[in-house]
Amino acid sequence: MMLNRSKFFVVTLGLFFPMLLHAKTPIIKITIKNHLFYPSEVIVPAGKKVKLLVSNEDNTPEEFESYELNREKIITGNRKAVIFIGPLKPGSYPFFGEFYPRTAQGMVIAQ
Amino acid sequence: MLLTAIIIVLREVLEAALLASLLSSVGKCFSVNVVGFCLAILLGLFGAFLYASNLPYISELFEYTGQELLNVFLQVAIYGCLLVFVIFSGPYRPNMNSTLLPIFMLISIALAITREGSEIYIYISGFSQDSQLMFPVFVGSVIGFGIGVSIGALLYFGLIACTLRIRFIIIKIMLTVIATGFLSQAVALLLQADYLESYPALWDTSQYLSEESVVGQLLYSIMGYESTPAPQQVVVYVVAIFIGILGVVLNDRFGRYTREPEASNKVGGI
Repeated sequence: MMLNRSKFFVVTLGLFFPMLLHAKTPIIKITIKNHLFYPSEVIVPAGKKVKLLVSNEDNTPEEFESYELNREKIITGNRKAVIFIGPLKPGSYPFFGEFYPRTAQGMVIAQ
Repeated sequence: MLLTAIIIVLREVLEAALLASLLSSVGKCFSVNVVGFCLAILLGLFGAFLYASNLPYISELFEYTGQELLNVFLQVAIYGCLLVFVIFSGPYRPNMNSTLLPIFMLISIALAITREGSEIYIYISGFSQDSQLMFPVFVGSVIGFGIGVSIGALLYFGLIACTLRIRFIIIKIMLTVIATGFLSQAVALLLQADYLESYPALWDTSQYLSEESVVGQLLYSIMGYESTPAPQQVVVYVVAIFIGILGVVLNDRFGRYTREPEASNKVGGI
């Protein structure tokens, strides 16, 4: 009983305070050029937090957005942005550029 | 591109327009007139311009989490202002905060316009160099803006046709939901910036109502609908709604009022 209660307490705390990471967060680089994502398919380890480093090499702003990943961030022209995703269950998670959605499309594949 | 522009601008304008309509429909109760609301809108537009102009610099602050932190600040501030208004406002003139409430109303409108307007400004200005796309983007933006403002106007006129008592009930419910939506978005931003630990989504309702659909996007704007919400978002959402309801009930029971029977017969907005 006591063990379950303290486990519950720790999990609740853990939901709201970042835990100390012992493993390094993998960094994946994505580039936006001519309103396209390079690479358009990004493979990430499942079950781990991943840091996306998105470089906008166009002069115009873009908004990195994904409904499945629950992420949304504006990246102004010729600037970089950091977006954390995961830990993800194995599967495909599409993302797109909201300002140029027809061309800027990509996929995060967790495996 | 035209359709994209319509949807992007509509989504942003809708949040601010709903807020402005809800608050301005009871402006007369708090002696806030058109001038006050116009001032709040202008302040918001100025804030949007400041935000958009400095975003490239802000985004790189705090190890590239500046944008998230600024948005969290804006959204929490809006939630706070709306919470105070929802709890302490009423069809009877309140004894307390009668001069403070208008300030909270106008600040929340200004902050919402700063938040939404900045994104619209950044989006449109991105096409200023592109002569081919500028026209459909501009036309789409105007249409989206028009639709958003029209929905707001419809809500406003619908509200002022109601009695004051019913109007306040509707406003309190809608503002609580909108404010909680803002807070839920703030939680998502903290997860994005790694200030909160990420866990798998609690559920996935994308099969039933996709965030990509028009209804899904509108519900996202109005109440922060997420088809795959993070656990912290759900917790914050439930707690925030509970705080709103609790605050209204407690103030109703224990708050001090000057009851003005004539006020409950007044019908009219600003």
